[in-house]
Amino acid sequence: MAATEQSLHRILVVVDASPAGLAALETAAALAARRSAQLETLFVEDVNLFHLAELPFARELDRTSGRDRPMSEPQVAQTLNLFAQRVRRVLDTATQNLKIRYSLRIVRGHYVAEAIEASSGADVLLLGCIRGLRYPRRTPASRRAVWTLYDGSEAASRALELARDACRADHLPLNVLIPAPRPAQAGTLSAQARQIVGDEVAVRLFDVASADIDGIRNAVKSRDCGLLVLPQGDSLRTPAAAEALLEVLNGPLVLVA
Amino acid sequence: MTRPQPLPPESLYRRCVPDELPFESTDELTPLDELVGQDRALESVRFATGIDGDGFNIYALGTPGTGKFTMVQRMLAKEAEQRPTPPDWCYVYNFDEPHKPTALRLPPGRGAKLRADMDQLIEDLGNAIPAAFDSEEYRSRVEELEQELGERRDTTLADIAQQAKEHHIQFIHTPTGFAFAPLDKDGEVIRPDNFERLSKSERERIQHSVEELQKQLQRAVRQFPQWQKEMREKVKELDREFASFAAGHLIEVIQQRHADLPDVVAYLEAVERNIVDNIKEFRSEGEGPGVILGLTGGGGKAAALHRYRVNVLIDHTDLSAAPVIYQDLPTHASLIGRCEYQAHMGTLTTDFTLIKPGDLHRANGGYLILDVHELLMQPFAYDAIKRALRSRELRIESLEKRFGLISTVSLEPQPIPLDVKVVLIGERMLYYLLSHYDPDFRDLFKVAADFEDAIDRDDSAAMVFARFIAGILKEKGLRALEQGAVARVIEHSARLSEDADKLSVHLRSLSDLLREADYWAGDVQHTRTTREDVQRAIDAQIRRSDRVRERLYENIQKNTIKIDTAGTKVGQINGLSVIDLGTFSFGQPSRITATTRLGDGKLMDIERETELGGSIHTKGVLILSNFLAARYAKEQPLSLSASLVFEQSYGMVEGDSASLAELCALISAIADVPIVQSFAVTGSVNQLGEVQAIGGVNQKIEGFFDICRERGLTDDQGVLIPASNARHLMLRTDVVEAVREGKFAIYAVETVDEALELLTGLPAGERDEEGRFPEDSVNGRAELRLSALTELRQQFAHPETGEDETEGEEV
Repeated sequence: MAATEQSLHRILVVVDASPAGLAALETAAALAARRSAQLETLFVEDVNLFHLAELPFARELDRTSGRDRPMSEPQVAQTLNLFAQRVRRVLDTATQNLKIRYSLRIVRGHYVAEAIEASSGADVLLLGCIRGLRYPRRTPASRRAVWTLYDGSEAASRALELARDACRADHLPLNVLIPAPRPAQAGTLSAQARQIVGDEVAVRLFDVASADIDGIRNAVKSRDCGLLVLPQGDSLRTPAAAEALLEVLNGPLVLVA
Repeated sequence: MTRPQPLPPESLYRRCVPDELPFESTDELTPLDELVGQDRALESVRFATGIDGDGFNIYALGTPGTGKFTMVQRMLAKEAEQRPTPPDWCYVYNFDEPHKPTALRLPPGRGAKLRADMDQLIEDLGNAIPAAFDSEEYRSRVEELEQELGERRDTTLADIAQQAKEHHIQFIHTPTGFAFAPLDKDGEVIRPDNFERLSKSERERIQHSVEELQKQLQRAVRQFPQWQKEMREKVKELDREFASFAAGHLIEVIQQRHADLPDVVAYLEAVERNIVDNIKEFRSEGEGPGVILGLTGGGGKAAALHRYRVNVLIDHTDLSAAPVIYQDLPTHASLIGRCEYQAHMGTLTTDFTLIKPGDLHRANGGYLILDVHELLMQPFAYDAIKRALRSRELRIESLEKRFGLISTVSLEPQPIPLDVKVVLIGERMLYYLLSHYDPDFRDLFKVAADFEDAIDRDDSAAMVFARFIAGILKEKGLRALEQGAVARVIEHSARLSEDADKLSVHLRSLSDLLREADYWAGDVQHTRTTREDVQRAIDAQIRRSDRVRERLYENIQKNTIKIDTAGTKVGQINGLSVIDLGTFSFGQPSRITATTRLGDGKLMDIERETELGGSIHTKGVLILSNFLAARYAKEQPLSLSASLVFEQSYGMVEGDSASLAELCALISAIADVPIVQSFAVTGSVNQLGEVQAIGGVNQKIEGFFDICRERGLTDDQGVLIPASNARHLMLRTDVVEAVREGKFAIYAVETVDEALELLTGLPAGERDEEGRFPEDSVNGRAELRLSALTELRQQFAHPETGEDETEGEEV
């Protein structure tokens, strides 16, 4: 995978049938338009939903009204089919408004596993789903926080540039995690990060002990993170790591190669 | 009876002797800055301006051009200086009833200050409120609340998730909600076939656990909307706190500035409440549908801010006395104000800032001068004035709305108390008509300021008039008048008043004459205006206007219009009438003829029969008929039919000033006595034969004189006028000189008999002891002729006369 500041060749967005998926599509389309990249979309029909629907006691609780209703395999299939149509409509609208090219593929499987498998060769991977027993946050787009991590690597630089561009486009402040066990190192990384971000975007820097999953989770967990842009290092390549991060996010997780 | 003698030349023109004026020129005089001879009107105006109470408004009545407006305005300006400056009035948004803007009363000059304060507030709010809500503190507080809600939900769900985990059950997000799924030993959702392979008790345990978790989750999810609502309330309260913080201190500063005005303070409190209650609108960037703010509450930041503007309806910042307003076009809207509209998306909309004041608003606390003719000409304007004066308040109401011509949103601005003196200026006739036909008029315009047309020409009048002239010269910036010029102006004023003992105070005529005389003085490089300049101005005025007279006299000279000025004729006489061309009038001789024949006493007025005679003229002719019957046929039928006509008259004949001439012509025809054609006659008569005064005597005499002079004066020509008109004589110099030289004569007659003697050269004749007129007198001949006609008529009535008569049956 290779990404430059000027252009990205492939942006892969992986969505499931949750509201977070649609939000991720919009974020990905905007990114593709900014970087003149092709948008590849993967809609993952969660196989667990079908397994659950076939169980005799399977019931679904409506998110808004709290009413419960029985689940069935045909009903799940139909719902997912409708959702796939919505995805296509969102993409069509984005194509029309933003002049981008896109492709859509629908697979049935486990969300994270399918995403990681499909991300091979993509410059940017967007994961738009919600994990864990959490209620989706309704924070307005104007107040969503954008977070990234800068550890001095090339991938981190690209992630920082991408996060900066997203903030610039939506007039949002940028929060940057600086993983530095020593203060001197933190100072250097902070200076580099500020230089990359420039003056057009308000930036806040947060020192974290390490750049591992737990460190990132703890940093963004209580801060209503709307978009997390991370360099795709080895520690993030595992499904478990991605699941762990998705559990604390209210918006897409963006992994930059 | 003595035959009347010609009037002496001295009585034909009352001169103003220049040497009797105690000054060389008007430079030496103290100018009079008010109209002369208008004491009655002045007192009326003073009374009306001094008295309080309903309806003591003024109607200044008089002839147009007498200076009513100038004097009233001058007097009111003086009175206004003694009165305090009235308050300013503003319209502001009514937060309770937006379609009824609130009127605020402020001390003079404070309205503009309040407006400036509110404009500044709007500008400050536009920055302060977004700044407060964009602050880190506000964001943090909101995030805290959202975080609190999120954590509350997450904690609740986390408890359920923990229980699920303990039972080896996974929470799954479905497209529209949540579900719980049991896991197999690999951590995957258990497949249905594997589930079926479990023992029954195990399946029941799992199912029970899932159902229990679902119930718990359901209870939790149902609480979420309430928690969300509680959070929104907290955010709302937070918004109010920040709004109050951002706007409160700004408003407090304005409140302190206007602390002496409770209404303003209350309004500002309402503004603060409204800002806090509608803080959302200030935070939106869009303009919103702000055009109809006054009525819908509008939307958007600009619209919300617009609501706090102040419409200063009346601003008396630069006024140090009560206002005196004159409106030359008093329409309904220009009097009581109006609500203007703006076209927006094809719809007419309005708001309180589009309320415009009327002249009654501007004059409130002072005086409003209106031309009554213009007022009555404008639809509903008079009605609006009356309503405002009656209710003593100013209520802006558009005619379009009243008559349903416009069906759009409209305003009902709060009425403003009215305290104004209205002065109507107009003609007498309109005053009398309004008094007669409008019952409200007398209640609302109780004071009549009646302006004189002329003043008495007594000993002091010349000096007062000279000072009055000096005042006009000063005001207009004209050259001073020499002594002789002043005398000539005074003489001309007497002529204008048609009375040698009066002076016309017609300001416009006088001002025009002085300005024109000044022009002619300048034409010949005079430093002061001389008598000759004044005379030239008078002559030029006549010259500019006398085209019609010239053509008419030319036709008389060419005998196209037949007027005899020599010889005698039976039943023919020269009458005199006046043609008024507006700024110029002149006398026109007319031939009046009468014919008689046997008849039944009917006097035919051909003018009336042809509907060319006015009612007054008809009245005059009927008087003649009765005079004839009373004088000559008291004890016998008037066996006469006669006809009268103005020869070569093709227009309306009105007035009775020719009735003396007509009577003389009739008697001449009856008595068969010729009338001297070198005389012209003017005057009206009553049933007793007394001659009564008429108007335009000077023009009439001059008119006949001009005809005679053109033909050559024969020394026996002259005019008979009513004796009561003698004091009105202010004849032209050439006429006076002709009389002085015996070439022309003016006779003042008191009775028709005096006129008959002059016109026929015969004695008129008086009844003797036996009640008979002398046979050789005019009356005697007339009576004889009538008796003869009566006999003739009897013969016609009873053709078999003589012996058979006694035998006939009485009828």
